[in-house]
Amino acid sequence: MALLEVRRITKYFGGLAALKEVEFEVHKGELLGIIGPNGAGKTTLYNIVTGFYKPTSGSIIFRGENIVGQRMDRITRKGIVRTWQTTVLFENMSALENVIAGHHLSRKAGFWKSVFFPSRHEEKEIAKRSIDILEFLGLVSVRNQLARSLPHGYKRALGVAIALAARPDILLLDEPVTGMNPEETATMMKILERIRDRGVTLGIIEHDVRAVMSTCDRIVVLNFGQKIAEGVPQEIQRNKDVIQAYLGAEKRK
Amino acid sequence: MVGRVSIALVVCFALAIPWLMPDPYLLHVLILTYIYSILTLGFILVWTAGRLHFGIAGFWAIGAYICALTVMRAGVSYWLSLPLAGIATGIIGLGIGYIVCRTGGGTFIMLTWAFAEVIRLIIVTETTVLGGSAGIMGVPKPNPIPLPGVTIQFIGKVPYYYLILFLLLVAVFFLYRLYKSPIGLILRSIGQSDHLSESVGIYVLWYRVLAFTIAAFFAGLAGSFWAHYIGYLCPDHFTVMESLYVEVAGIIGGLGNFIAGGIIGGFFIVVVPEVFRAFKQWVPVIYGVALITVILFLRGGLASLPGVIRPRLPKWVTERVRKGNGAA
Repeated sequence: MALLEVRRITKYFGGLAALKEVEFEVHKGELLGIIGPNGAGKTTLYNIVTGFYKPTSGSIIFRGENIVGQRMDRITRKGIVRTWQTTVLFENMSALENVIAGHHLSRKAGFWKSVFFPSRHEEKEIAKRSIDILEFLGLVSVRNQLARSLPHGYKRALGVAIALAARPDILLLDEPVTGMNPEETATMMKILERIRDRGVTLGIIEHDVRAVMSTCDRIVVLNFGQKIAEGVPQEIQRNKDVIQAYLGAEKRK
Repeated sequence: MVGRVSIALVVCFALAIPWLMPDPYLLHVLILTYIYSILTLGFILVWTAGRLHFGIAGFWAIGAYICALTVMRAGVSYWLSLPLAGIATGIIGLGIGYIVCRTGGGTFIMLTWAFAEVIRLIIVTETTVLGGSAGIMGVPKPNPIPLPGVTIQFIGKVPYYYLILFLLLVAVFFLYRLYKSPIGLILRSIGQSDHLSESVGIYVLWYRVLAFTIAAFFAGLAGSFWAHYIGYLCPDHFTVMESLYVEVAGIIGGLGNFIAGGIIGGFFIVVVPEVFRAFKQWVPVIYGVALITVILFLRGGLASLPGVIRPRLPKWVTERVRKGNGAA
């Protein structure tokens, strides 16, 4: 059964259709690639799924409930967590603090209790889990460095670490390997596979097809705001429309 | 971080000042300093949550008027109306914050400024209850506190000094706990990235309103004190310049040093005009130069100065200091 259903999502910015009737499903436990050339509407789609934008029409069904138009923090609470395309971090905090901040939903104490009678036990537990996450992503050695001083590859990994701290059921990554060299890309893709193997469903936006082709279980291809293909990597590789979208003008001649 | 011992020393020194230097003028300056410190602490709190509060003076005015009016018109004891005025100001701050915290950047600055001006203009216009631009004269002194043996009368500067010191310590203690708690981490998170905070499940608006409300509460307390200390109220006390001074105090004191920055900023903003009393018209220029200097060369403000200087001292100085500390 589909964990997340995107149903006929349309989004207009003024007169421009960023997304037209896009429809697909995300199955539990899979690693879904969402690819397409620049400007295809991938990030807009994420923004709609996570509540950052409201769509012009259409619905998002998560575990049988329509979550379209809900506030972002509510959607996160339900289990859909995203990362951001440009590396958004809490720049002036250490890597460890970043991940601790990501654990917001794990805290149960209210305002007065957390100010005057903070639970040491809870904070210790969160710090321990944060270290585990950092270790999982190979960041433990830089845990005390300020986020803004980290090298690019580490920053991207830290973005994933923060998202993991929010305990996602579905983790939506926006171009997690952009700007990485092939080696870093391979490492990141391995990490993502391991996250999937821990039972987290993953969605990955990428415009670099090669990076995701070998790892993804299924792929959805967007072009000019429309879904032009969906299927396993082998099918996508042979799909005429996809080739045309990527190689473009030459074929059309 | 400053150690517990040095904090205790500073507090003891502040408590001892009326004995060490019982000069009314000095005490008056210190009282003003503590008021501005409380206001600046609130400003820095809102700044930590990522917004530049430009209307602190408005909440200061609300606290002052509510407290003075409940005492004078309703005959409530000052000791009841002091906290009540703080809470009422906090509730008003909650309402205004719920509106303005949806905006950011320049819009937020303009809106907070506009709200503060609207509050001042309401006071100017409303002559029957709020006294209009003529103000309210003869705000009574706080009721005497009967203790077994002695009764504390509010005569001279000393009792006022201890009262405002007490309020400042309450603010410092509360905010210290707040910054150390998970709430402090959340506020710093939303100050650095709204989007990322939201995507880890933080309801950004609520926490920002919370910071705004707490700042309003303490500004209201400072106002309640101010009204009964100075003895009369007039809308001219609460112009946009006061909000601006609080902002200058926050930046010069150090926005990243949540507590020390506020207190040092409060000192700066009050002590500078007193020191340069002979050149009064030049004081805004001094503020301006100080502001630019701090922004260009000392981003952490005056509170960050020890951390900046220490690594640059010649080795023999640092070693001597370390040895001295070891001996002590």
